[in-house]
Amino acid sequence: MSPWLLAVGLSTAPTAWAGARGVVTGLPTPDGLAEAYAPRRVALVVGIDRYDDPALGTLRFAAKDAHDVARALEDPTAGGFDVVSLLSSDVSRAAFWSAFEAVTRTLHRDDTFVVYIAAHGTLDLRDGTELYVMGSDGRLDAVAHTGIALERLEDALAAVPARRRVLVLDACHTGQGRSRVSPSDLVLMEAFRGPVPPPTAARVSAAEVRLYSAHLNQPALEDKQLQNGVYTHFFVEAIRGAADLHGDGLVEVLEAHHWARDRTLDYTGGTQVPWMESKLVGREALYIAGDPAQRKAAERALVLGLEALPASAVITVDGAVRGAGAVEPGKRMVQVEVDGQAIVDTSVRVTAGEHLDVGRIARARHRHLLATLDAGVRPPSEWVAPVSAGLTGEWVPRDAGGVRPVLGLTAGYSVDDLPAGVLAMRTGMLWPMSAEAPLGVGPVAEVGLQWRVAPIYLPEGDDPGLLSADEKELQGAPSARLAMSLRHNRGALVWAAEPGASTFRTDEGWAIMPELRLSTGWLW
Amino acid sequence: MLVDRQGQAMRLGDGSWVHLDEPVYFRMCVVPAATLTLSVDGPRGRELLTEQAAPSGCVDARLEGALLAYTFDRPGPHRFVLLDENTRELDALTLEVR
Repeated sequence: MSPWLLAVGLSTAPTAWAGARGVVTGLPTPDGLAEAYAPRRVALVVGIDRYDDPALGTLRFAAKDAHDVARALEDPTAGGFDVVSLLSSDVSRAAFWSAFEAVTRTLHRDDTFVVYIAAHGTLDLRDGTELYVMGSDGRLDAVAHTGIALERLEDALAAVPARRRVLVLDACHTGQGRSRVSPSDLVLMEAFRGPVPPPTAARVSAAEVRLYSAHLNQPALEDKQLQNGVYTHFFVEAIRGAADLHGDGLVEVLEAHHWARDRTLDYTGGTQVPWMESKLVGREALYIAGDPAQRKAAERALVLGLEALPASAVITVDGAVRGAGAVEPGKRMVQVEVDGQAIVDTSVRVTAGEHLDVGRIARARHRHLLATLDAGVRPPSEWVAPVSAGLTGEWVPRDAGGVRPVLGLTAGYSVDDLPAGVLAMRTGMLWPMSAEAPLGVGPVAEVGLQWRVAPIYLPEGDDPGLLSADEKELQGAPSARLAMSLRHNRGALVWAAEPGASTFRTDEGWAIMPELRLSTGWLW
Repeated sequence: MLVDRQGQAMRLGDGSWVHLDEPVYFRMCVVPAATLTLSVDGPRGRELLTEQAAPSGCVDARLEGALLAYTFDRPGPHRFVLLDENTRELDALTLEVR
């Protein structure tokens, strides 16, 4: 402690503070100290549908969108936010910034802050691409002076003390849907060969997520049937639990966006393409609904991994065509078809909380080359050595589930005084063995050549016996092997045991002997 | 920062106001761990409130183990500043005392 601090402490450290000024200790702790410091979830929700400028006109559902989002966020059974501040219908630029400042002033580091805006968007192309959302007093002929600049909004959001921040913007900048563009900018837009160039990307801060209902060159639509902006409609659905795919009582922001994005794409036939930017470091999670401290045990498993599949992939679970989402735990039939061809068709047992990655299953089923290192043991005999080692290569055609035919080549070497071995073609049937079915079983058969280097004996009738200890020849004889292949794989790593029997021709007829082959290898 | 307003803890932020008779409390946050210095620039000039080692995360400002509070003797703006051992300003917050 510095002398200065000590002096301050001595002069202003009474246990009763009446009359004391400066640093004091020993005061009665105010009520709610811990609660006041506890992390809060705070939202500013804005929906602007009335505009003074006739060139902007009115929006039908922006205010309703804001009300719906606010209700969902403050609902203790849905968003469960501590503070939701709602501005709707007629909101000037000044009113927006005033509310933004008031709501964010007392935010603390561990708070979560969400700002949602449904409004007209526009752009200014005079000096690069500048994006704006418009307050009620905004004027299309003076956007730079009367609009809410997206860049400034993003900067303000980044400066908020709360560590976790989310911006949700249901507006667009195309001149269609929730957007109007000035005639001069329309002329500039039409002059571009191709889409309007994006603005310089504002850097997303750590633990920040920005969700946009439509991409730069696409409209954000309102829909009479939904009585909402399309993206907002599904975003509210997500907050209210539809996107709680695990059933653990929590909806992560990205889960909510994915839910709303997929349904917006489907509903608008791809006309409106939502997008997002985020920077979530490590295991940082940002929840739009539910309290992580109150997380329930997951009730459902999750089908995901569609990003790894072609856009034309059709996923069917238990006969129902579906996208990503939750499934009840238990045994499920999963099929994936691409352009009419089944690439996955298998039953999978899933447990609550498990992620069933269909992309990984499909990728694993693309592996169809197996290379193994083998070790064989059999009873001692005069024909072959009791221990052998070998290499096997197998081709397993692309698997859609069920029985997989196997073709391969195996080369073995017997560990004995004299070189000996086998070279054989291999075929079989295997069921099912893939990444999601780690056990496989099926018969395999090999037909080939048993070879050995042996001393040369004179034929019977001549002087029998060894010609010479040094005189040797390479001998070959047909051979066959029948075995049951039992396999276990963990990802691409495979272990196998193959009990069976070998037979090969000798001078005295066919020899038959049991053999156990143990293998380990890799699926490519 | 918090203020004890009629026995109830309430959050403060940059630009908040407090009454002369309302003590304020501090929670300081830093990553990674550092030795923190909390001071205030007010009508009486700069005043050092505390200097304490803080683990990575948030910690209440304390003096000799007891929760530290600060009370005001003059109205006007008071700027509270949090510095690390390299006198780098980590955070600052101005209160208007009425």
